[in-house]
Amino acid sequence: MSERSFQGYERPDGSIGVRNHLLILSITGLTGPTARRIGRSIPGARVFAMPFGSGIVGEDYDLHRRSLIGLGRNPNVGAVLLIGGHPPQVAEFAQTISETGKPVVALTLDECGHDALTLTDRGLRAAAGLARDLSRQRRRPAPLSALFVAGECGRSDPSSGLVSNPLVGGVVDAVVDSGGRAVIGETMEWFGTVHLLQARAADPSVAEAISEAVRRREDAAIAAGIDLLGDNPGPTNIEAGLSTLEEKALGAIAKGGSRPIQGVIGMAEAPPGPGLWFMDAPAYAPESMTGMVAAGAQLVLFTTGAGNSFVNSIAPTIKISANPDSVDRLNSQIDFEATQVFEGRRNLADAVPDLLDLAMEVASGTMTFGEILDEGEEVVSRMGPAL
Amino acid sequence: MNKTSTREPVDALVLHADDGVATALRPLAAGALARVGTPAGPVEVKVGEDIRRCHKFALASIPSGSTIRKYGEIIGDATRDIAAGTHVHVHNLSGRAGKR
Repeated sequence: MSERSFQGYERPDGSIGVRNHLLILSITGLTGPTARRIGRSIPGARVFAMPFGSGIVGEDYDLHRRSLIGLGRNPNVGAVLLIGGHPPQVAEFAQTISETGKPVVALTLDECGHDALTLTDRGLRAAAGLARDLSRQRRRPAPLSALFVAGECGRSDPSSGLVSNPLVGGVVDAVVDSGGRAVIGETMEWFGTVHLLQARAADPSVAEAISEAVRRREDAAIAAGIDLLGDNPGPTNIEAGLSTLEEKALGAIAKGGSRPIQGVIGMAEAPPGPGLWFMDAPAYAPESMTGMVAAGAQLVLFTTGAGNSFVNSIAPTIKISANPDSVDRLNSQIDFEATQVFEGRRNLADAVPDLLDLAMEVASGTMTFGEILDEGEEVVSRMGPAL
Repeated sequence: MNKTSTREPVDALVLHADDGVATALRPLAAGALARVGTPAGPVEVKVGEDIRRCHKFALASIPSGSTIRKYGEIIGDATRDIAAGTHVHVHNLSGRAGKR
């Protein structure tokens, strides 16, 4: 399966985009309305407007900075219009994103006399120029090893753990074997599986990092007086037949396939090398996916049991379900149906190349339902209070 | 553990030889004789109550306090006696995570 290739956009730093987005990135809440106004005027442009600005401190500041810069650096983004309040901060973000060699135009409210309409005029003209330049680029063949895939699950049921997640695991193994990168997150869903994950750790420090990440999250829940089982599995999971967090987790980690785990990375932190990585991050799909896409993932493989319409806005998100009821009901949401495997009419191992084929096709430009229906958004976590 | 091969149609699936529960692949009615695929081949289990698709039932009786496994791994402990063929879920199965 390592011979596979796709058609992608080659970036100046050698990375490959599976999309060629113009990203309008507003790094402060003050410029959000202007970013959206410019975005509405450029069909197809992606907009991410961070709702917070000054007053974000410590861990949150680091995470927000890493997330915004990471989204800008993602290979699926061909050019960035960066807008914000103050020139020094905007310049620093612009500098870090433009290390990738992609065009970045930075504008600030300060330079526009704090007139949002002046910022709109300058921003729209700049964005139009960037969009035209992007449209001149063409896709070229790229190897499977250029892919960085993220595994995610949402509104899981037992069909996820039985079929859909192991299918994603098969694709993750193929990407890793080719020399590419893969990530799964959702630390809460490593509970009860630490012994299995540690057995796959690339070295003892990775094994320690896995158990440490789980212990930190468990400590945080206990300190907050939260009964973990009151929240995860959630009501939808329980209705669908998942009884305990361990049962859900054993199904969830199957997304990570079977290859060695190279390390535990933080949210929005780019993996330092190829292979399979685990991201220590919240389990809620919108923030989890933004964390993985800000880390550089170009494609998300998203399994669902009961259905879940949410996708990432920058990385095409392939929705996979093996639940026959959901597949029938959600015929404009599920991109890959695995019901034949669930019903025993097809081998799981035979279905892995089918999903890999679809992943290659989507990487080459075929749209997902989530993209067609514009269900995408970015969500950056907040951990603590603002000043 | 999930590399199941194409199989004769079954009503429910056991994923690992150590598992005490089966997962229903279709809705099962009380009193039905369910054909259950296991790593050692198909077995028949009489279903004691209606079981929804994807929900679990006991292969044999499970005494209160016993460890319950799926995928060959611990998913929790029985909180009461569970009769063979009856529903195993949050009313009689409790996980261990977050309880130290």
